[in-house]
Amino acid sequence: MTGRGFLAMAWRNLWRNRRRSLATVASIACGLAAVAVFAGYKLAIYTGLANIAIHSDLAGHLTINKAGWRTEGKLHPARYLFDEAEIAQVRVTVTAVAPGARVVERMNVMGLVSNGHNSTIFVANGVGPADMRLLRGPFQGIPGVLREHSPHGVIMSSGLADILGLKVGDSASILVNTIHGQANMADIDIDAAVDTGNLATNDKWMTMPLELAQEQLDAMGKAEGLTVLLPAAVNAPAFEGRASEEAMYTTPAPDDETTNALRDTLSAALARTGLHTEMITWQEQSPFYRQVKSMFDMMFGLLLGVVLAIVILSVANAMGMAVVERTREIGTLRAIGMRRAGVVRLFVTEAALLVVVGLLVGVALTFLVRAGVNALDVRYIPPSLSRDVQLYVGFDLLPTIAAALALAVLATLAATVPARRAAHAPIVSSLGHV
Amino acid sequence: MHLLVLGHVKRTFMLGETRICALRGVDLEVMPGEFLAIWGPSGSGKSTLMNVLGLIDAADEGKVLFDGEDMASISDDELSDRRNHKIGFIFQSFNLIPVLSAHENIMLPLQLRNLPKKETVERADEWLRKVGLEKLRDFRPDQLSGGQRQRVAIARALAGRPKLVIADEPTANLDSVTSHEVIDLLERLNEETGVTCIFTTHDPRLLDRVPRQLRLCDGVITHERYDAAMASS
Repeated sequence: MTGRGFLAMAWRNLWRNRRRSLATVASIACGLAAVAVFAGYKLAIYTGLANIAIHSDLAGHLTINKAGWRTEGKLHPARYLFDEAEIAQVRVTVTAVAPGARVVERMNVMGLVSNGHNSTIFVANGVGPADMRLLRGPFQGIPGVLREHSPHGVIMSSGLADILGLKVGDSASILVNTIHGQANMADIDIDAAVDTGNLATNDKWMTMPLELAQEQLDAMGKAEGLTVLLPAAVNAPAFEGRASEEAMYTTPAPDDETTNALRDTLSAALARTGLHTEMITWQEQSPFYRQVKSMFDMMFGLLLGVVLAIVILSVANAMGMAVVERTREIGTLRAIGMRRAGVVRLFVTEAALLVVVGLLVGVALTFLVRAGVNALDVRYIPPSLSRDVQLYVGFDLLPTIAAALALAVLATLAATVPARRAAHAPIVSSLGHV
Repeated sequence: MHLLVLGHVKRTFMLGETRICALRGVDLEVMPGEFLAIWGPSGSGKSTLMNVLGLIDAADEGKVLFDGEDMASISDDELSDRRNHKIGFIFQSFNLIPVLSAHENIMLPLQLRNLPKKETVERADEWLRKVGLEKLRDFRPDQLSGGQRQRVAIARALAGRPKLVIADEPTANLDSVTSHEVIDLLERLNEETGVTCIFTTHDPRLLDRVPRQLRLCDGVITHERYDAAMASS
C-alpha cells in the first residue's frame, strides 16, 4: 500500500470520532501556542532588557578600562585613567577592528549632593551630551538627555530629586573628592528628573556632562572608561513614540558570541599596541539581564516539559481509544494481509496527521494571541523596576520550531505504543472483539 | 497436489481457568477448486477450524500444509503475505472498512499487494460488476444493505484471485433469500474461477447445494458426505 493510500485512509479515520480528534488537535494547538507565546514573551524580555542596558543605562556594547582598574581603580584612580593619547589609540584600534564603531569617553563620579539644607549621596555618570545621544542609538525617545550648552546641567533621578525636594530648574551643590583626594564642590542645575526604572538606582543616580565630571575629579581630558557602540546601533534610524517602546522589544542586540569575539579581538589588538586593558561586555555589565534570562530559560524548560507531557498523553489517549474502538477492524486488516508494520504505520500516520493539523492551528493561534496581547497594550511593573512596561509578545522562531519538532516526534512516538499493541494482538481475538 | 492438508490438528484455549479443546485432532485434505461446507452445532470448533484453515490462527499440534508449504515454518509477515495473495475472507459480519467506499474496500487487498493503481482500479471495477454493484461503487458500507455489504465482501475476497476463500457463516446475518443469492454467487464464482471455497453454515437448506460436507462435533470431524455427481456437475 502506498504512502498516499495510508494517508488517505488515516485522514478519513480521524473524522470518525470528530469530537475526540478536535479535542486532540486543540490540545496540541494550545500546547504549541503556550510554548510559542512564552518563547516570544521571553525573547521580548531579553531584547528589551538588552536594549535598556545598552541604550538606556548607557552600557554600550563593550566597556574598556585600563587593566587593573576594577581592583585598584578606587585606591589609585589617577593610575587607571586613560589620557588623551591612550584614548586616541583606543579609537584607532576600535575603528580598525570594527569599522564604523564609535568610542564614548566616560567618567563616573560619586559624592554628596545638597539642596542647601540636606545632603545625600549620589552616583553620577559623566558623558558628553552628543555622546549620550549616540549611546541612545535608535531609542531617542528615552526620557532624559543632557542638553548642549548647559555645562552644569544634570539629569537627576526622580527619587533623588524627591529626597532633596528638588524639581526641574532648581539648583543644587555637589561635593566630590578629586582623584588626588581633595574636596571639590560645584553647583549643578537640574535640567531633567527621570525615573531610572530601577529601584536600586532611582534614589541616587545622576547623569552629568563629561567635562563637569572631569572638572570635579580634576582629571581634564581623561576618561575612566571607554564605551564602544557597534555600527548597527550607530546607524539605526531612530524610532518615535509608541514605536520606540515596541522597538525596544524587537530590535535585536548583539549576542554573547558577537560581544565576546569583539572583546577578545579588541583586547588582543590593544595589547599589541602596548595598551593593556580589561573589558566587559554589556551582558557581563548587566547582572539583572543574566539573572532574568536564567530564570526565564528555566521557566521555559518547565513549561515545555509540562506541555510535552500533556500533549503526549492526549495523543496517546486518543490513539489508545481509537485502537480499542477499531480492534475488530484491525483484525480484518490483518486477516486480509496487512502486516503488523502496516497497522502500526496506519495509526502512526493518523497521529502524525493530528499533530500536523494541531501544529498548524497552534501557529495560527500563536499569531492571534500575540497580535491580541500586543494590541491590548497590557502594562505591568516587573520586579525591581519602578515604572510599568508593556507586556509585549515577540516571535522566537528557533524555540518554536524546536518545540514543534519535539511535539511532533514525541506525540507520534506516543502513538506507536497503542499501535504496536494492536498490531501484535492475535488476529482471532481482534476479530472477535465486541 | 492438495491445496490444504491438515494432519491431526489440535487447538486448545483457556477460558478463564477452564481449558477448552476446540480441535481434538482434525485430519483434512482439500483439493483445488472444491466447494466445501463445514457444519455442526455451536461450540463444535467450526470457527476455530476455519481460522486455522485461513492462516489467522495456528495449531497447537499437528501439521498444516497450505499450497505445499508448512505453515509452522514461516514468519508472521510471510503469513500475512500468504493470506493476502492466496486467501480471501468472507466474514459473518461483513467486516468492511467503514471509511472506505465499496470500490475502495475491494481495492484494499490489492493495494496491500502494491499492484499498480490502474490494475487495482480495473480489477475492483470488474468485481463490482460481477457482484452486480457497479452503481453503488462510491457508497460506504453504512449506505449499503446487508446483502450488498456481503457482495462487496465477496468481491473483496475474490478480487485478489486467491486460491482459497474462507467464509465463516457468511449468511448468518442475512435473510433466506439473500442467503441463497450469496451462496449462488459463491457457487458461480467457484465454477467460473476455480477458486476453492470453504464455508460454514447452520442452514440445512444451503448444505443440500454443496457437494462435499463435513460435520464437526466436539472438535473432530464426525461425518463426511461427498456427492460426486453434484461435484462433477
